Amino acid sequence: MLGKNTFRLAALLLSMLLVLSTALVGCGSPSKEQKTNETPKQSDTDKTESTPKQGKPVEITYWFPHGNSRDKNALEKAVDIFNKANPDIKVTAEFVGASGSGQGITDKLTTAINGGSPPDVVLFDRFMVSQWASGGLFEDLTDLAQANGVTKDMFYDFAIKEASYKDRIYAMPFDTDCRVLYYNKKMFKEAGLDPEKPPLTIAELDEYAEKLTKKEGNRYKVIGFIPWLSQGWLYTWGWAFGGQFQDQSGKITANHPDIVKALEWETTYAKKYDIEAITNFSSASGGDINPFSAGMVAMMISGPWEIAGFKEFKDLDYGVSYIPTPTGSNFNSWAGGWCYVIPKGTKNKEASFKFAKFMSVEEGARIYGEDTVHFMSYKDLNDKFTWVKNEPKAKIFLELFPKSYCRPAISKGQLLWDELATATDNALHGKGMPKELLDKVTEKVNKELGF
Amino acid sequence: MRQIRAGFFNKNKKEITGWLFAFPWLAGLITFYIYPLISSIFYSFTAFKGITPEKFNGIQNYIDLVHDGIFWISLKNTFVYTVLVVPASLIFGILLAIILNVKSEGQGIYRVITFIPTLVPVVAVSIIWQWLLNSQFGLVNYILYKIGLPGPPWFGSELWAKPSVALISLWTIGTTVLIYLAGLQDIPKDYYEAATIDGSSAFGKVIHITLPLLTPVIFFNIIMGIIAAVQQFTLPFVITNGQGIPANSMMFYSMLLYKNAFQYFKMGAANAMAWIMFVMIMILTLIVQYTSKKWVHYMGE
Repeated sequence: MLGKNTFRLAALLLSMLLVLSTALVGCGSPSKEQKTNETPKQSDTDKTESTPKQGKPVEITYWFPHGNSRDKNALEKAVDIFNKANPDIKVTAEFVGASGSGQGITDKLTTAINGGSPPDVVLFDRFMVSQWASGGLFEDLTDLAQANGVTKDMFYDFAIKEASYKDRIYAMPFDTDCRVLYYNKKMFKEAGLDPEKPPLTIAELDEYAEKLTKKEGNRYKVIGFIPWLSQGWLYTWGWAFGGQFQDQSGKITANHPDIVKALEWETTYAKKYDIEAITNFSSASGGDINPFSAGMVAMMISGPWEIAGFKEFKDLDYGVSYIPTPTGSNFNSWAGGWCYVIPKGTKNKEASFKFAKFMSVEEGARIYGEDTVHFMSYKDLNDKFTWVKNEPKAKIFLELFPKSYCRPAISKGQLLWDELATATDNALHGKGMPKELLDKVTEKVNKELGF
Repeated sequence: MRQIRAGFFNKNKKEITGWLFAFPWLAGLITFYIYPLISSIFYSFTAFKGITPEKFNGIQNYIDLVHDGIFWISLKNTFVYTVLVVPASLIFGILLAIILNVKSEGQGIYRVITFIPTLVPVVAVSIIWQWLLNSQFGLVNYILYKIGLPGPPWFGSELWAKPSVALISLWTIGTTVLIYLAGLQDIPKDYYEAATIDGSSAFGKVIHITLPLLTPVIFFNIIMGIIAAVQQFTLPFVITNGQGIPANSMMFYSMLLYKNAFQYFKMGAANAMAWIMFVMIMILTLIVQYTSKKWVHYMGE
């Protein structure tokens, strides 16, 4: 009797444990689930989705990391319009806080895809698409795009390049930007420079920077120019100096002679002005203070988003110009932006794509670009925005987009970014010669890429 | 005979009921603690990328880590920070606790003031101090400038970056102080009275009574302090925006672990790092534990 009872209870306990652990194992190894999700033939899913049961719309979860009210309102407005126009689909928009260095939802999304219950559509930093696609985390959208009449030439070159991995499309490009030189016209006048003639060559830039700098005791009041401030990444200067970060075979060439020259030039600024005293101007450690609008720097490399932000500063009289190059010609820039991706394992791929398309080339894109003062990757939209028509400073961006690069679309994009940033930082702090540092970056990233 | 059997059964039944009541907790422990713990050992020996099927690759992750320069930099940074912050929080914690233990008017208010910073979320703390310690337009350097002292470049220099983070964590020392305060109040008044009669000075009392009798609490706080310092993540992560600038001097161990796991998709390497950290903390704790026999005095022994 004793044995029997104990046994029964033990069996109960064990079976409860077993149920729990199998549930867990299910979560832990998504590879199996993924396969079953992948295998249903396209036609199967098409059938179930194209004939939705009456009154029961397909439910779609949509994650976005944009928390500021202007962006959030525009995104939610677009969702409302989409839901009204498509009664068979119900999109639920969820704000999901970004993690990491302002690059959007990353760790939460990894976990969700791993757990087998990802959101259906995610607003994602385009720069990371290749890396995530190579890890098998996103659905391939090439066929859906073709079937729905979305072609590569609808977008700027850099945008579709970033959204692809190995010639397959994994994302629908959303907004975009590129970098230009912002300069303070008032400070130009005070320094005896012509406010309508911004520097075009690197030599002019150096000369103007020196004229614009003001020092008081051992503290700088104004620094004319800091190459690495804000958007002055090594990408910016590498391309401006004529360098290329990747060769035809796909190998990384961060030690390209022109990129080395660019970094060497940056270090002259670190030596001339005390690097430690100005690091706080240039790094994120400055908090949310914008040194340009605060009148602490006279020139700065940044993107189009500043235009909307600077409207609050009534006294700020500034101009935008090309990023100077050694020759004063062949101006270029580089672009980034966001896109829509469909994580691996969603059940409503068709409906999700329909929404992604709405947001990237249809009404959703128009609303977002117009309401939030953003350029879009869809080429036809930009010159139609009223804000673009009313903003003379927008012209230079439209001119630069066709000449803009995107960061190499490789499976180790984040590593390359971090390595370049660290190499720049080390070079500026005098920890190693630019050539050696960039050789190391090239070697490390190529090794990780399998070259 | 029958009675004995019944009694035996009752005892067993009680035991089973006990286990049943413990079951919810046990299930939680196994599924959310022991299972992940064991699987993380397993993953540390695989080329697990976070999603693709794992490939067993032996100790390759550990070998790669040892050959990665940044791994050693992060280890060194974390170690330097630990050496800075643990003794500092020990000294300031005890000093503050002794001051706050002195009977005075408004004692409660002072205690509250000391404790309030711990209630501020760490991210908010980081952002507040980013502003205060900004070398160009921060309040701290402004005050230093006004009184004619040179303001250090705080987060801007490799030399000052880690002391700055240590300074911020000292600001949130409230919990440690609270534990010291409790420890102080545990010390019987008789000892002090006896010392007063024998003509001991206040300083003498602190050295010969307070400190020796506080050693169990100090011991506890040192171990907890080491663990917290080695795992420091939020402050450097928020302050440097996840980049570990300047020149990698703020790349802490946990930050590199996070980067490996969620930014480079090297989940296997991240698991390996976690286990290396576990071993490190274990060794440090054992060392402190071992030396404790010589300096920790328990009352009544």
